[in-house]
Amino acid sequence: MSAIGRPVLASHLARITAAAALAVCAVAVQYRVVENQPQRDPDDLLYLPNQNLLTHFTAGLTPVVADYLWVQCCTYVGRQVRSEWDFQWLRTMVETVTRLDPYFVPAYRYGAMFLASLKQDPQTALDLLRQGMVANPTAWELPYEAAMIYLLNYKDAPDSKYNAAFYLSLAVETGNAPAYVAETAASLNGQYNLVGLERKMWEAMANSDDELLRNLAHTKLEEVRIKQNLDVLNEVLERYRVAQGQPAQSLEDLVAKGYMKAIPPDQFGGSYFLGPDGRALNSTLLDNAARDTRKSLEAAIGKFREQQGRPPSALEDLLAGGYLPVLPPHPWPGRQWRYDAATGSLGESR
Amino acid sequence: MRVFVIAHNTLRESLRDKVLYVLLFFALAAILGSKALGWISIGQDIKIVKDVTLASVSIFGALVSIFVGTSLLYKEIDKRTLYTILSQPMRRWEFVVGKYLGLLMLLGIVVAMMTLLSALYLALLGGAPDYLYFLAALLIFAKLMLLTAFAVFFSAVASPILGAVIVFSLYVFGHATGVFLDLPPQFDGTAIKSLLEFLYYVFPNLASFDITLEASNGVPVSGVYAMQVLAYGVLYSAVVLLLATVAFDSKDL
Repeated sequence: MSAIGRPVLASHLARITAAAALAVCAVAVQYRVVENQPQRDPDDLLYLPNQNLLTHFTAGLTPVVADYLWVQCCTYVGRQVRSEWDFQWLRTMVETVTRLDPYFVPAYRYGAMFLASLKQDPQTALDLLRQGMVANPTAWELPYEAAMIYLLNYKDAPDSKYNAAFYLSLAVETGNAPAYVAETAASLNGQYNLVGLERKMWEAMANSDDELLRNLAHTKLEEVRIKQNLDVLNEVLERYRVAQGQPAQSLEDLVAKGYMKAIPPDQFGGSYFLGPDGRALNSTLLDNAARDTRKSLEAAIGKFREQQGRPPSALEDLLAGGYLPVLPPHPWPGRQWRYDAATGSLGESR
Repeated sequence: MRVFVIAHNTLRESLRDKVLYVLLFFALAAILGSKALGWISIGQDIKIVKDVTLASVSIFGALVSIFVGTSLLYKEIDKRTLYTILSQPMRRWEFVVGKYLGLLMLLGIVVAMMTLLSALYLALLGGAPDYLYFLAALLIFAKLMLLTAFAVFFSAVASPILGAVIVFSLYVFGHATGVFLDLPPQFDGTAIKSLLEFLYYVFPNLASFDITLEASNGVPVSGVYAMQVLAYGVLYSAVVLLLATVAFDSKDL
């Protein structure tokens, strides 16, 4: 065995040694090749086929091609930030990615951020975000970024705050936005009496081609009508207080004393009533606000649980951990959030 | 019954094919390597892992279907084992259908293995896949079912290399039939447009089976759509397989 095996082994060893030596030579040659390689235009990747054709000819690999181009886009941005600060191809890249994968929310979001903050092209960024909103109506990030563009890039424009408030409202409407978005939206809405403007924008959206957006706009228009009714009711309540020398005890007093013919109906089956501070409230709006706030709180609790491996021991932990900037109160007067630390579930007490 | 004996033998024989394991090795490498692409991207690395893993299932499944499928009948003729089999009380169509079903079982195992491995990997990365992910994998299998029918058909009428080239082209073009409808406005009202629209419905539309975009982005897909696509896959595969049996019956052996 050994007499036969020895020459074979020697032959194998000789060949393996030769292969190893050749491999070292190949690596050395490759090292030289890389050194002398002609410098390619870093943008040559961008000479892609027509976007239309690219969408069709990916052999079922559309998402992967979109991911690859997005990675290239991020690399391109990084390279430009370190060198020429020229983002000539940015728009084409982001548009190609989102055309291939219209549900790729981070590509819309970060693409718009790059366009607005680096290329200083807020209009293209807004166009991109609007396209993204049509394809992804439940992504709060896209209207939120649009609002930020109005607040940061168009801060000196006369209607920037109104537009920002509108997009923040859209972000809140998705039901997925963190609490701070709802807080900012409420703050801006309160600062700039935006109900009239909001109505016009929802009316425009009611003519959208997208059924989801149309339905959303119709619902929102009804809510705007309720908000306008509340403004009217509060004005009448104030007139009542001045004329009668005391505040009304209920909204029915306004009808009984002839200040109003009737309390307006609520299309959603809710009702108008007098709050503890003497101002008119509406149950539909309060229910909607409670729903949105609950979602934000539950999202923050979920995030806490995901990162800490346990539910927070109290809602205040969400503030300490930076999961929420403030603890939103329950929108209904007299109600409070009730949190069960054992299960991490959220309820309410009346 | 004889069909299932052939199917079982085909599966056993295919499992011994080294090409299968080479392809599975590359699929595994692509699945495990997908995380690297996520690292250098901004946002949603889990989405990227989902995209790459589903694409791996699709492309490596297609390669198994093409490489194994196109040589399926040819190999039996070339090795002359076919004559022994056909000397038994067996019809040619039974042999073709049995071969097809055997390869389909192999693909079922391959797709299930890759999907489960990908799902496990995703779960380890903290992005447990939802039902859409598995639905996407099921529709990929339906797509491979159709592709395999074509592979078997070309195995009956062409050499393995020619068959593989044709079926691979069909795989690429089957995903691109949408181009027939996406015409520039100058085609409006022309006979070519009507012809292309007709061809759009006649050609195998593999893009219909592709819901990976929806699966990786969590966009719901209706059950009705999935059922329709499955029905389309079964019907079209049956048509191609019938043609394959006719072609094999008429073959001068």
